Order: sequence, then C-alpha cells, then structure tokens
Amino acid sequence: MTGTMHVADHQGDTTHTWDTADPRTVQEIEGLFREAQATGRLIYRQTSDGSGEQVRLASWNPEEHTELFVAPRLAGG
Amino acid sequence: MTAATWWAAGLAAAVVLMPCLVGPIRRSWAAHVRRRRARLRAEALLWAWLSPAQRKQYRRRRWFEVTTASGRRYRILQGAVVRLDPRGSGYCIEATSPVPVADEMLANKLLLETNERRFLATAHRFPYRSFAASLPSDLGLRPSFGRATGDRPDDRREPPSWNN
Repeated sequence: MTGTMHVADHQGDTTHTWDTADPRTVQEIEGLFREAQATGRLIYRQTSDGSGEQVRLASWNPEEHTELFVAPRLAGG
Repeated sequence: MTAATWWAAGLAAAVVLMPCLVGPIRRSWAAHVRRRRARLRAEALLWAWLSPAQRKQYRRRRWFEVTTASGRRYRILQGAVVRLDPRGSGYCIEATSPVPVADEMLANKLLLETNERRFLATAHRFPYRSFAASLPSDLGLRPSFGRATGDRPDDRREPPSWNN
C-alpha cells in the first residue's frame, strides 16, 4: 500500500510518499510526523466525505491513512 | 541637439543600461513564476480536499462554507473567516510561515471541521460591522448587523465539546 503526505510550505506543498513494502519510506514519514508535531503543526488524514480527521503518529495507520496533509501552524492575525 | 542626436543618445544609453536591467528583470520573472506555481499547487491540493458542495462554491465564488460539529456555519474566504449561522463574528487567522492562501484556507477548513474550539481559541475575532462593510456584495452578508460585543448570548457560547 502506498500513500502520500503533503507538507504545506512556500512552494504550495512538498510531497512525500511511502510504500508499506519499504519500511525505510515509512520511517521517513514517521520522522516528518515527529518534526511536525514538535513544531505545533497539525496533521490530517483525508476521509471519504470530503473532510479531514486529525491524526497523530500514535494513531497513524500507514495501510489505511494514505492521504495526509501537514497544515501550516496557524495564529490569530 | 537634433532629434536624431537624441535618438542616438537614447539608444546608446539603452545599450549601456540593458545588461544592468537584465538580471533584476530575470530574477523578478523567476520569482513570479515560482509564486504562480506555488499558488497552483496549493489550489490543486485544496481542491482535492473539498467536498463536492464546497467545490461548487469555490469554483463560483472563491470561497466555501463549513458546518462544524456544533452546527455553526462558517464561510472561509481568502484571508478571513466569517461566521454565518449564527451571524456576528469575523475571524482573522493566518499561517505563521509563508504559504499560498489556498493552503491557509485548507488549514482553516480542517481545523474548523475537527476542532472548532481550538479554532476559536486561536483566531482573532473582530467586530463584524467594519469587516462586513469591506466585503464583496456577493457574500450575501448585511453590514447592518450589530457588533460582536460579547454581550449577546451567542457571542459567549462555546461549542459543546472539546476534542483536542
């Protein structure tokens, strides 16, 4: 099973993909999870009804949650 | 000096200055291309995460609406969020890092859909009247509505659950 993580940045987003058959790619995504969580960014997985659900590294299932978005950190303007 | 002399002087100046201008023009153009590419990427990503109804709204108006778990309805615009139902507040919330506006809109949508309390705690709420007066008329918002002062029961009410 393959999946994609979109990390929002100044380029629009940077895409990282993983393949559950290749543990190295999954570990790379786990590293991005840790990095995002450490900087206060929220990560969402896409649900079938056109909305999202927050997901954390502990609850992330690479087999099922195959479309992820790392949102930019938000603050009151 | 004759016109021909002026023309010759102008041409000579252009030849001398051209190499100086090529660099800045090229850099400016490259920055423009990068920004445009980023905007298109962000818009494609936003599009992929919108529901069919939201896509329809976004295609027509460049905004879309979100109904939260508490039943409140918000309109996500480029640069701000307004609460429509019940009416009364505008919210200013932005990314702390430079990202295209479509990324910001997607982040706002997802935060509202998953954790409205956190959105309300993060966003800066401002008086509705001054904001509504500056909105395009196609938003269907009336600026005659009173200010969100915190005195109205709805201004104080919080969504029922805290799902962090």
